[in-house]
Amino acid sequence: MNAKQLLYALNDINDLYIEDAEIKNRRMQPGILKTLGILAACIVLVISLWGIGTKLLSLQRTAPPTNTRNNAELPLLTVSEAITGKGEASYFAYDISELTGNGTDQAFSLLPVFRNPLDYCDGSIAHADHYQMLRLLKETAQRFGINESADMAIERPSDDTPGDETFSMRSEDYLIEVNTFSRVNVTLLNRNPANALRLSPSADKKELQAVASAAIKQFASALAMAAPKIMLPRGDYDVNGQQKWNRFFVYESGGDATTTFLNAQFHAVGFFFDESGVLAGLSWGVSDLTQCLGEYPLLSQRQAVAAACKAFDLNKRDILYAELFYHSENTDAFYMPCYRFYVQTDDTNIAASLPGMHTYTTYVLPAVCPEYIRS
Amino acid sequence: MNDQKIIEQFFRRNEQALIETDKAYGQYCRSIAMRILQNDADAQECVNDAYLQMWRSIPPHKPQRLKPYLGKITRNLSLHLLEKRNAQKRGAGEISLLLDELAECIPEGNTYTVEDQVAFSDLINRFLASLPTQARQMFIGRYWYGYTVRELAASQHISSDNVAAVLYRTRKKLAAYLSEKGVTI
Repeated sequence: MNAKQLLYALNDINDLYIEDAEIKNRRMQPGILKTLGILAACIVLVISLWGIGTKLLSLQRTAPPTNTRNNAELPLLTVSEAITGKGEASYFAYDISELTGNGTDQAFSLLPVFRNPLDYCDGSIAHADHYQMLRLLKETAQRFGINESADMAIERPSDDTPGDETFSMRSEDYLIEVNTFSRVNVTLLNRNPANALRLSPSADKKELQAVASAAIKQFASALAMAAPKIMLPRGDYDVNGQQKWNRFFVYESGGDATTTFLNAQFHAVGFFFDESGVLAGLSWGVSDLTQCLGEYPLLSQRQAVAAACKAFDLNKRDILYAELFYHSENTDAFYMPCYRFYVQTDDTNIAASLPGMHTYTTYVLPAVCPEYIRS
Repeated sequence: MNDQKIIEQFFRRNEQALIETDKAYGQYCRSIAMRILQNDADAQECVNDAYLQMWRSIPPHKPQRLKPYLGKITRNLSLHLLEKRNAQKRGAGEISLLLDELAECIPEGNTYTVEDQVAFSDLINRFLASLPTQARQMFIGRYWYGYTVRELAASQHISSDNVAAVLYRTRKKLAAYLSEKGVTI
């Protein structure tokens, strides 16, 4: 590449940066500036005198402003109603400790917020990034050792469904699919139960852990992680009160605390099994985190609990556990850190059929300090 | 008429869409083209071609932000026309200065393949995201819009020397960043 090609490559930069960098106003004439300056000074003087007078008359003391934004460069965030509030899912567990562990228990005072680059119109994606999807497809193929020219047959999406497109390719051993949201699914074809990784019907957490370790070794080149770490999800309970351990995630833990947390939240690779317990495939998201708005100050867990009690009319003792996570639905305008609060809401029917089983519901609040959120 | 309404007109194949686009963004596009081409007639030709390209691409595309979408098309067409014009030896104009400056951002290495263009754009976006707002505005202002150092200084209320210094540091940062990311160009 030479400078000319770089000049062309710059054409594809983020739309927001382009709009942001435009010089919109022509420079004013010095005379006009001077007049405006004098006028502004007069207005400030009048307002100041009026403010002092009002203060003296009212004799009221006003507390100094707290939590003022200390970093003016960070843009204000908007939070949709879908983010804040009571979660729709309920969780079952004999003890709250079964629900903990989503990649970090570490406290962060700052975490980055990202703008969701997907372009939405009336709730559906407006412009699928075919280049990104194809690139991802080819990269994934390489990671799985597929010879592009020999094995790959790319099935292109049709043009009439821009919001729901999938590029796929199939080799003898794998079906690789990449959808509009950069979600990658790899289905293992020609699975031989004799030597495939499998879970027994009554697999427990320990067995899943062992299979996960074996899977990391088997798929080491495809995962391409320097320090893969296993994250077991909460074991789901069936109607008999038995836990099902039938999937796990692997993420890169080789970076600093923030990077590791981001990897766990955005780039964890999920392994899933078929009904007979044989490893059936892998799936992961490739969230586009290129549009970082900056590192935002976060509420401490204590502050967040207090805010949740106020927002959802809860008592502090109702909140049994609070965890940080990234709210990153496809339609979110921003990928931002949030707190999820677990509250015990026991269901009498469940408790009657499964003694000791508790039901938990969740509440969610943005973890970013409120002064950075547009009211 | 707002973007949404203009796009609706494009989807209905109503030529009024082009008139409204010109009203809203004609001046913006002509300004981009003029900075690159330094010639009124060529700039207008590029803007017309950009409208035509937009007419062909919407639908199926449905850009949410019409202004940068159209701006990118105009800039791309203008650069191509400039290249064609330079091949006919009609002079490079202001853009040759930008090319000289951008040459500093290119780390020494091997050949950069066209197939990696998308990955390269991603890298550039990541780099821009890492910059302080003011430096990013100046960098894009200079190398995307083609603003002069003096114009940038006036818009940022700092001296031209300061702008030049920020641009110089940003170019060096970009070169180091590309080198660090192992981009072989």
